[in-house]
Amino acid sequence: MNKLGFDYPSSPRKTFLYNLEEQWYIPLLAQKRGLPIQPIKRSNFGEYYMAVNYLTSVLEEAASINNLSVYNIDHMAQLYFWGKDAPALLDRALAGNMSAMKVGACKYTLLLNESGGVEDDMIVMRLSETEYIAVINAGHDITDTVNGKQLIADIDRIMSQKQEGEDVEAEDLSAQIVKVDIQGPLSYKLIKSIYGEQVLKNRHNPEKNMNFFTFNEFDYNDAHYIISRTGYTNRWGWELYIPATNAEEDFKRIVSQALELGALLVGLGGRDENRLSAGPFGLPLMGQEYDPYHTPINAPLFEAAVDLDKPFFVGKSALEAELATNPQKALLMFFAEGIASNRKVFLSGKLLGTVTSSIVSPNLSLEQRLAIGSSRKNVNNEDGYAAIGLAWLYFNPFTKDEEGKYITEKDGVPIRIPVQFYKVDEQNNPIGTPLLGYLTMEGVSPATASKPLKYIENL
Amino acid sequence: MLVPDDLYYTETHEWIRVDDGIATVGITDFAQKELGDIVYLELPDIGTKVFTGEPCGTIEAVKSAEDLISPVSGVIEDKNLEAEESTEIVNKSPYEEGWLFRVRLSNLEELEDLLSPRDYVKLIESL
Repeated sequence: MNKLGFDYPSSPRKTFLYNLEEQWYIPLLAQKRGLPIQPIKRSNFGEYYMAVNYLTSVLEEAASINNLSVYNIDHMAQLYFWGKDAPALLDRALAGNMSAMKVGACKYTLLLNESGGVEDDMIVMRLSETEYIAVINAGHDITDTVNGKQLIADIDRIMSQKQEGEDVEAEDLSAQIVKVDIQGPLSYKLIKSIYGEQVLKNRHNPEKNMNFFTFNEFDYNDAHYIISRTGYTNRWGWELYIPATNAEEDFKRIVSQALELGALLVGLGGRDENRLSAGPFGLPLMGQEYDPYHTPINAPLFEAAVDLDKPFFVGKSALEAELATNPQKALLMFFAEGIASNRKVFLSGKLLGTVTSSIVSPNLSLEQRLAIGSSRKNVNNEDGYAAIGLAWLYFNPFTKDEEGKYITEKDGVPIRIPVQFYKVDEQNNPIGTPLLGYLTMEGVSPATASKPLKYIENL
Repeated sequence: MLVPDDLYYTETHEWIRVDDGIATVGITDFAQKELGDIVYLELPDIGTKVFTGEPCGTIEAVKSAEDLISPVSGVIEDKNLEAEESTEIVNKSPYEEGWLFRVRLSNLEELEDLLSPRDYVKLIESL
């Protein structure tokens, strides 16, 4: 079979918006803030040069979500599948029930390998009975051998499940689509002001607002758009798929309008904080919380993403085998006095698990920070900050009630389990001084993503 | 990128200024730019023995935490309490107000293993 994934690029790629970020946004922001123009600090993410932050600091960009955040997400790829047998193919290749999706719905699901390990996570949109678009992580569009290691693009991994005589085809549409995410309470206002309120309405009932995890298609300035009520912040927000022909003009309008509203373009750093900080569990990230060597069992979105009632999907037998052993592993959120990356979690002197993500957050309350019991001034100051993160643990140390639900608070006060974060040697013995912190299910910010839009439509 | 020509450097992006057997140590302009906003510093206490190439403290930015590596061996003479208190001075003035600690050198020959300004410029240009 011909491969559909791309060759490994000789140097990291630039998104469609790269030059606009450098030559349009930075001068604009510099002028607005009275700052000197500086090149954007970038890091390689999925073989793309992505902005870590712009002239504004990671902390300021992270805090923008409480108002409005715009992200350049053009490094993610969009895979188009079409044909009579597309539902059957996706049902075999992906862990979710794709044939049961309604047209106009979005679904979060996982691409597993035979061992049940996670190759990618994605949101899939059903355009018609026979058409889907899968929105996948950056860098998962490459099929090539790199330093002796075989990379397989999602599109090839999925199409490898195609059976003799089936009518289904696939194409990577990323070059034609520029993806910009608009998240936070003022996102409704921003999109309404540019594309009109009708694009935010329910496709079956224009009197009502769009439901969470649905999308609309619309035409604007002679080109075709998709907007979905989804996002990677667990807060109110939208993912916008702009046709490349209109992307420069639209990006400028979106970002100019955002600046008028006191909001920012937010880089990788702020976005990482934003995906970790809402709701009781944050959102897992491919390559951090998910990898090809571990199953996603007991991850917070497992039940939404995986349908074990389907007769077959790649990885199903491995998941069933592990589930039969009653696995206790758990992915939990923690707050800590400092960044706990590359450290292990210890509870009462015993190894409890491994930190998979950690970043400094400006969004923790003073009460949440004081509860860490740190001697660090920046943790305990009124306008200070502390770190947040996610850790995979061998078991969930929270106790369960009679119904088997975890007890996360008592009399309205969140339960917090103090832990220590140590660096370890090869035998997992702790080294050096620990970072202090606690496990909690209180979250940093409320998860507003699925809450009614009536709370923001008149802002 | 500022690389003053009167200092020694390391491959781990520390700078060293030697004066009368005492080495003042900090991180380079390149390092502070790479780290971004520094939010926490844990510097070695006065009297602590430090060894070349070994961690002697912590430096934390918003996105990452790094070991502070001692570029020389000796005993800590002084540390920059002001930098611990107001970490932003390390970003603003990495070679002056943002110095980190001072070491009474136990082995002056180690200085020969450090990088010259020219070698350090070559190093960061290759990154």
